[in-house]
Amino acid sequence: MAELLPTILIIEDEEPIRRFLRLSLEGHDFRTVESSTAAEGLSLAASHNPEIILLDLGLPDLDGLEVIKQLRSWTTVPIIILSARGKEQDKIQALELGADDYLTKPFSVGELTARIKVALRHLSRTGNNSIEPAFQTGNLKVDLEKRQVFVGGKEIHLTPTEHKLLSILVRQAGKLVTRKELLGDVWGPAGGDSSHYLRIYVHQLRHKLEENPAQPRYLITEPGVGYRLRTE
Amino acid sequence: MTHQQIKNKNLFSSFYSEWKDYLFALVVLLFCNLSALGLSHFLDLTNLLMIYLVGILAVVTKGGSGPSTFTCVLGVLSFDYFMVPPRFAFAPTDSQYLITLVVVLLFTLTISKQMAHARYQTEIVQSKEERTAALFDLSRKLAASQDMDQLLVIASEHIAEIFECRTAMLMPASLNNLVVKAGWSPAFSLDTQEQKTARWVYRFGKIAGQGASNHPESAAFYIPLLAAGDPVGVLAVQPRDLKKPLTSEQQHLLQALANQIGASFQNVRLAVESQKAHLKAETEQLRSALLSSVSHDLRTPLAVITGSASSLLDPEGHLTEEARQELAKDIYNESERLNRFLSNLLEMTRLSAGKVQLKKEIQPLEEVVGGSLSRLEKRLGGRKVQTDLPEDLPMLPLDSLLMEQVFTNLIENALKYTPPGSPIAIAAHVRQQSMKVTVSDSGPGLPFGDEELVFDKFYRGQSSGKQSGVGLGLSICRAVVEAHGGRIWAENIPEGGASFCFTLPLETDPVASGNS
Repeated sequence: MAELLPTILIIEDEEPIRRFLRLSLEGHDFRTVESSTAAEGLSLAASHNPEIILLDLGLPDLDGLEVIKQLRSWTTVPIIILSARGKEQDKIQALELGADDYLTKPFSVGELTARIKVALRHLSRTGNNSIEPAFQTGNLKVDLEKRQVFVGGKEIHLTPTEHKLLSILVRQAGKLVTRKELLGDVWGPAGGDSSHYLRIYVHQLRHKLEENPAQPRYLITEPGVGYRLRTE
Repeated sequence: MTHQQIKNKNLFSSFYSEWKDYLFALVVLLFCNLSALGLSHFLDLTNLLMIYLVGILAVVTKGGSGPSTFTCVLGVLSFDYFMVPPRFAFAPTDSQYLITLVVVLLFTLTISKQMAHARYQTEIVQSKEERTAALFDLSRKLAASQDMDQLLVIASEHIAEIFECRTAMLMPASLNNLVVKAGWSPAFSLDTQEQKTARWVYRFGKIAGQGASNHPESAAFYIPLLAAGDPVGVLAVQPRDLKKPLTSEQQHLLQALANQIGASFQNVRLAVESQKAHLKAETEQLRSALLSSVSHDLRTPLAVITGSASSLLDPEGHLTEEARQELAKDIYNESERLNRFLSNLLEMTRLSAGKVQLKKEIQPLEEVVGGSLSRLEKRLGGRKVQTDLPEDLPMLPLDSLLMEQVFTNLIENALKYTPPGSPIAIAAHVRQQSMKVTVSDSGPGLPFGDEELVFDKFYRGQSSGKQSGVGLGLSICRAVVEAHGGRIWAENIPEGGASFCFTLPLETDPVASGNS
């Protein structure tokens, strides 16, 4: 019986990039499928049903954002964007259209594999709808069911808003969550553009959870885009 | 001619022609007297008078007022003396002749005066016409002027001439000051009093100075140069003859002129500013095109290098030896690619800045082609390049390094845009006084209509893959070929494929090196 290795679809037009992606991912026990155009990529996504899709935005035949749209119309497969475009606007757009994460070129394979692992973990979790058991990373332990947060064993008290904010980040641990999503989920449609509020609350959370709020270990800011709860 | 000149002319010529005219008058009168005397037996006194009248008229129409008057008086007197009885005496026997004589005298004097007046009027009209012509001329020159300073100089010179005055064009400098930009003879100085008046004029947009209601104590007459109602400067005018201040007619004319000058000045200034803005916008555009192009094209090879290197370093990578080799190769290739981009960019910057001096040496084209092909050996990877360079091809002055670059860029393009294995050809032959070189391929050819555009900076082909390269290769080729004095262009070959041709001049005298 063939081992069921997770399949990763690589949609990228530069051959050398495909090469190092393939070689390192295969070295990490993934199966890879490659395509150099959007059209080919879309068809391979349908035929191979990969676990993860790595998508370059600068494809020759179709804009990457369009590809995200098309993919999201029929699949929830995690999409990780690889792009030379580093502007925040591009990142936000991609994430809002449904991408799960965003890596700016140049990046190291270490970063990439970490993000892929996060994406896979979330995949396996979203299968069941039950609320997961306590989340733990480093010194931080969060029990969403019991609504308890511990740092180094000591219980920390959070206001309802702070807790709500943290739980969203915990549920998407390791992934980049846009400000818009956070605002919408915590404050509802009235949240709108109040990223100022968000900043204040994240600041407060950091002071409660981080050993050194100025050099956060868990609550990472992605400037201009959103926040990420880092899993170690 | 100016009024002054007319008067001068009159004075001078009248002095000179006075001489002649008096002489002429005497001759005429002499003739009259003689003919009258001769005809006195045949003609009536009234008709004899006509002879004199004709004579007087002849002088009066031609001569100046002096001789005319002289002729009238002398004519009447000689008529009196020679013709009116008693002849050869002045006092007429019949007193009615006195009336005749007086009336005739008055008559002739009046006519002479009228004639003189008419002449004077004609001359004035003439001078007015000339002045109008001068003004039209000024208008035309103003309209044609593209240079702000030049415009002011032209205007001030013309006005000085037309109005017989000293002029100065005062333009705003720093803060509150007006500075003389044209005109101005040292005699006309701009001391604080005059500055005050000038500034007043500039601020309020109204005339002032000598002859005006505002600041009449000033030494000159100041007129604002208006453009759409706003002052852009001040015209200062000072009549040369201080005893003859400007008439109100002249003042009005000067104002009209000042408006015209103001408008022209503003137009030129706006044109200059617009040009500057346009240039700035173009530079900005070029710069952002460069930035975005560079940003993307540097990131991609860097991404490969980072990705490949981090793969090699990954402790959990489990890479086979073959895999490691491939990754290492990629790192190497991509760093070379980066190097090429940067070289191209630098090259282009240097060429654009015009700082490149060609180091031309007489050499055979083959050498340069050979150099380029050997540098490209690896990239050609066994692909054949046909060379058709006749043995008797003359040597010509070339900058080896830059010319090699031209061939390298053209061949690289062929490699990029044509299918592997398809032929690439380089040919050269002498045509008229230059050498024509062609680099051609059998690929898909150039997009129809883009044959000229391909040479633009940052032009990239719309081919099937996103090609590497910043898009400067061909613009570098053009810069180098043109620096050599040649021409470069692109064509599509009817049988399929693209052909890049350029000409290089063959110099007949062996110059070892030279700047272009």
